Amino acid sequence: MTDEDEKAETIIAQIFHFGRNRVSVVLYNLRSFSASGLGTFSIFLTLSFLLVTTTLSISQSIFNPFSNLSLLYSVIFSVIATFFGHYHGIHLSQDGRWKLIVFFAPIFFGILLFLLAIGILEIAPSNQFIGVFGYSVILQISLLAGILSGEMENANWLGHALFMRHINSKLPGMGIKYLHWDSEGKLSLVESRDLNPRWSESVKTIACRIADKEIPFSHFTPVFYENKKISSAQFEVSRLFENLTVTWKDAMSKYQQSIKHGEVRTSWLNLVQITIPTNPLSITVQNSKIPVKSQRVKIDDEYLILAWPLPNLSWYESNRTIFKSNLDAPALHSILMTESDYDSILDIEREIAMFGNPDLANQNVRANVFRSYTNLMLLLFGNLSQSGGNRSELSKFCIRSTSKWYKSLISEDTLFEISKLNAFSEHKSLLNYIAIDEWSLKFNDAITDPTSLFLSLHDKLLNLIAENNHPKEITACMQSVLYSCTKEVIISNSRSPIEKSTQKSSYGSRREFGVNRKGIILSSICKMNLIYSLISTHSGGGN
Amino acid sequence: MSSPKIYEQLEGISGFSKSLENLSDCIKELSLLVAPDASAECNEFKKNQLHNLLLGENAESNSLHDGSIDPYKVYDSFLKSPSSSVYSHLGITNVRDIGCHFDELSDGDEVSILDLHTHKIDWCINCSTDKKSNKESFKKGSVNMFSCWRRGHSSGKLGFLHRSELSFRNGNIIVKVSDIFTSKELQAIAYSKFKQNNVRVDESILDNGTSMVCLIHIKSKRNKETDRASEIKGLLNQQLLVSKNMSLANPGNRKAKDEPKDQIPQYIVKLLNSVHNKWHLDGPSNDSKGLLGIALIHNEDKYTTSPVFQNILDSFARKNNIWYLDSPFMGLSNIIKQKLNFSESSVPTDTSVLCLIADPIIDLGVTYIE
Repeated sequence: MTDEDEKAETIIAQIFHFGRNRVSVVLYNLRSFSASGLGTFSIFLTLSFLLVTTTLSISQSIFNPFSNLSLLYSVIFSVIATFFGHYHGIHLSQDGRWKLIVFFAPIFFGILLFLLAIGILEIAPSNQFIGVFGYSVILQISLLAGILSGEMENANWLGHALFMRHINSKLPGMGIKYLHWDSEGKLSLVESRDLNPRWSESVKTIACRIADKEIPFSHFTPVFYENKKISSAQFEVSRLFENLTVTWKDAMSKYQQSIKHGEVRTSWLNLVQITIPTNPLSITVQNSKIPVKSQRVKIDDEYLILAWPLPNLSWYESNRTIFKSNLDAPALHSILMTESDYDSILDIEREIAMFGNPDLANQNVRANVFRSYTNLMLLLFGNLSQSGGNRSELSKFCIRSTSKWYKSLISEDTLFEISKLNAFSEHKSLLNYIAIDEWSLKFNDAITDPTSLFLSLHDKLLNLIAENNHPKEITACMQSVLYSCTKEVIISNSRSPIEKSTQKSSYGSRREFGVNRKGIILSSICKMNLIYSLISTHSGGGN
Repeated sequence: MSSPKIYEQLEGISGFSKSLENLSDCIKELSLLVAPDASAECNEFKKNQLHNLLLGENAESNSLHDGSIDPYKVYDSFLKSPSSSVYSHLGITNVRDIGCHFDELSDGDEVSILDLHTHKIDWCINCSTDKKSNKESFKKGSVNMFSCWRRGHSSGKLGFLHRSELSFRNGNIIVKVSDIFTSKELQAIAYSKFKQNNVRVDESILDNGTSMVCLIHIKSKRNKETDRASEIKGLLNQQLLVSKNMSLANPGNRKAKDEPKDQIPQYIVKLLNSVHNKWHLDGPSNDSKGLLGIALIHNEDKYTTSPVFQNILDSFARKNNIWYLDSPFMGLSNIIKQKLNFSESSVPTDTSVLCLIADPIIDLGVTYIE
C-alpha cells in the first residue's frame, strides 16, 4: 500500500470518526433535554414575521403560493397543528430539540416568502413543491398560534424537567430517599424515582400524584436512611441546587422552596407530634453542640430513629409562609396541613392524647387539653428560640414544670371526671382550647406583672369552687392545682438568711433565685390558666 | 402520700387516729388557700399574705436585717396602726385585728400574732382552758365558743363533723369511722390527697365546718356480735362436719369474751387518750391542745349512765384538764342537735353519743407543709 493510499484511508477514517461523533452528539442532543430559551415574546415575534411575510407574498408576489391549495386540507392541517401546538406548547417552546420546528423553520419560510414578495425569488406555478411549501407555512402559522394560545408562559414545566433531570435523578446515587409525613400524621419512606413532582393548577403548588391524590411536595423531605436512622439530607440537596446556573435555579425555585418548606414542616411535626408528647424536656437542651434530637418513630410497622433538628423558623413565619393557616387553629392541624375541621379529633390526636385508649367519654376533654398544652409549649419554645435573656430562662423553667404537671394530669382520673361536664359531650367543646395567640397575651401579662395575674387566677379558681356545685373530683383537681402552686411559691421563698460577709459575692445566686421564683409563678399561672379554661368554659363560666 | 386504700382500713383506734391525722393534714393545706374567718378583713389578710408571698423578700425587710432601722420601733408603729391587718405579716399585725377575745387582753397591750405563734405570749394556749364557760357555751348551743381567726372558723370551710360507731366483732370492740361531714373545699382536698370517699358535704347541718367534732355512737344493746368463726362452726355442726382449719375455742378465753360490754370503758379510755394525743401532736397547729371537752349525750341508755362509765369519762376530763358534760338527749338544746346532726333516728333509745370537741386552732402563718 502506498503512502497516498494510507493517507487517503486515514482521512476517510478521520472523516468517518468525525461523522460518527457528530451523529452521536446529535443523537445525544436529541435524547437530552436542553432549554431552548424561547419565551412568549420570541414566539410572538416569529409568528408576526411569518404572518407579515405571508400577507406580503399573497398581495405583492406575481404568483400567490397559496392559490392552489385545497381548502379542506388547509383547514384540516390548520386545526391539527393548532391543537397540537396548544396542548404541547410547553414542550415545543421550552425544549431545545423543537427549536428547529418552532423558530428556525418559520424564520426560514418567512424569508422565502419575503423574497417571493419582493420578486427576488420566482417560482413557476407548475412547480410541484409549491403546494408543500404552502401547506408548510399554514402548518407553521397554526402551530405557533396554538403554542401562544396554550400554557407556554408557564415556566413550571421547565422547572419540572430540570428538577427531574438534574436533582431528583441524582438522589438515589447519593442514598437519599423522601420521608413522606402525610396530613394524617403517618410517616413513610419513598424512593425518589417513584416521585414525579410537578406544578398542579388545582392546589397551586408543586404536588405529586399518589393513588389518585394530589399531595403537596412540601409533605416530602429528602432524608438519608442508614442503619435504621433517618436524618435530614436538606444540606446535600441544597448543594445540588447551588451547583446549577442562576437561570436554572430560577426555573426550579418553586421546587427548591418546596423542599425547604418540607424540611421546616418536618421539624415542626417532629416537635409537636413526637417531641412534646414524649420527651418535652429535650427541647430545653438547646445549644450548638446538641443541635439534633433523636426520637423513635414508627414507619411501616417498624421503629426507626429520627434525628431531626428543631425548627429554626419562627412559628408565626412558618404559619404565614408554609402552613398558611389561621393562627387560632390547633397547632397540629396547621402543621399537618389537614383539611379536617377543628371540631373533629384527628386520628393522630386521638393516638397521642388518649394513649391509644379510645375511651369515648374522655376524647373531647383530652383533645381539648392536648391542644391547649401544645399551643402553650409552642409559645414557650418560641421564647426559647429568642436570643437568651430572662424570657428564655423563664420559658425553659415553665416547660420543665408544666410538662411534668401535664403528665400527671393526663394520667390521673381527673380528666375523666371533667369529661362528665355536659359541655364536653358536644363536639364544639373542642373549639374551646387556648390558642397560641391567647397564650401569648397571657404570658406577656404574666411576665409584666406575675403577682397580680397569679392572685387574679387564684381568686377565680377559688370562686369557681365556691360558686359551683362541681363533683368533688373536679373541685379536688382545682384545689390541688391551687395548693401545689402556692406550696411551690412558699418553698421558693424559704431559704437560709445570707450572711453579711457573703452578700457581695451572692449576685449570681440571688439572680438565680429571682428567675426560679418568677419561673415558679409563671408556670403556676400557666397551669391555673389551663385548668380554669377547661372547667370554667365548660361549666357556664367564661374567661 | 398515703395509700388510696387507707380508708378501707379505718377501723380500730389506730384507724380512727389515722383518719384524724389525715383530716389535720387537709386542714393545714386548706388553711393556706382560704380565709378561716368569714369577715372581709380576714379575706383581705389572706390575699395580702399571698401577695407578699409572691413578691418574696422586699427592701424593707432587708433594711431591718441590716440594722439600719430599729426593728422594735418599726414593729411598734405597725402594731399601733389602726388597720395593720392589711400588712399581712404576723409580726406587725395586732391580735385585736384577728378578733382575739382573751380575757387578759387590755387596751394598752400591743401584741402581734407572731407573739402568739411563737409562744412569746401564751394566750392562745390559756384561752381554751376556761372549762366552766366553755361547758356552759356548749349547753347553750355553741359547739365552737371561739370567735377569733385562729379558732373561730366562721367561714365554715375548715371544720368537720367526724362520725363513728362502736361495734363488736369476734368478741372484740372496735370503733369504725362511718362518715365525715366537711365543707366541699375540705372534701376536695381529702379526695385529692387520700382518695377518701367517705367525706361528705351536707349543707343541712347547721354551721357545718365551723367546729371540729368527733361523734362516737355507742349502741351497747343493739350491736350484735358478728363472730364469723362461730357462724361457720355452727353451720359445720349442723351438718355434722368438722374442719381441721377451725381452731377449737378455748373455753376460758371464750368466757372472757362473752361480755364485750365490759370492755367498753377500757376501750373508750384508750380511744380518748389516743385521740387526745394525736390531735395534740398532729393537729392543724403546733399549739393544738388536743381535746377541749367531751360530752356524753344519752337517750335512756342505762349502760352509759352507769357510774362506771361516767367515772372513766370524768376522770379522763380531770386528768387532761378539759370539760366534761353529761346530758340526756331530750335535755339537749335544739341548736346543738342541729349542729351535730342529731335526731331521734340517729340517737335512738338505749343508745348514746360521745362528742369529742377537738381544739380547732390553726396557724395563720405560711409554712411549708410536706
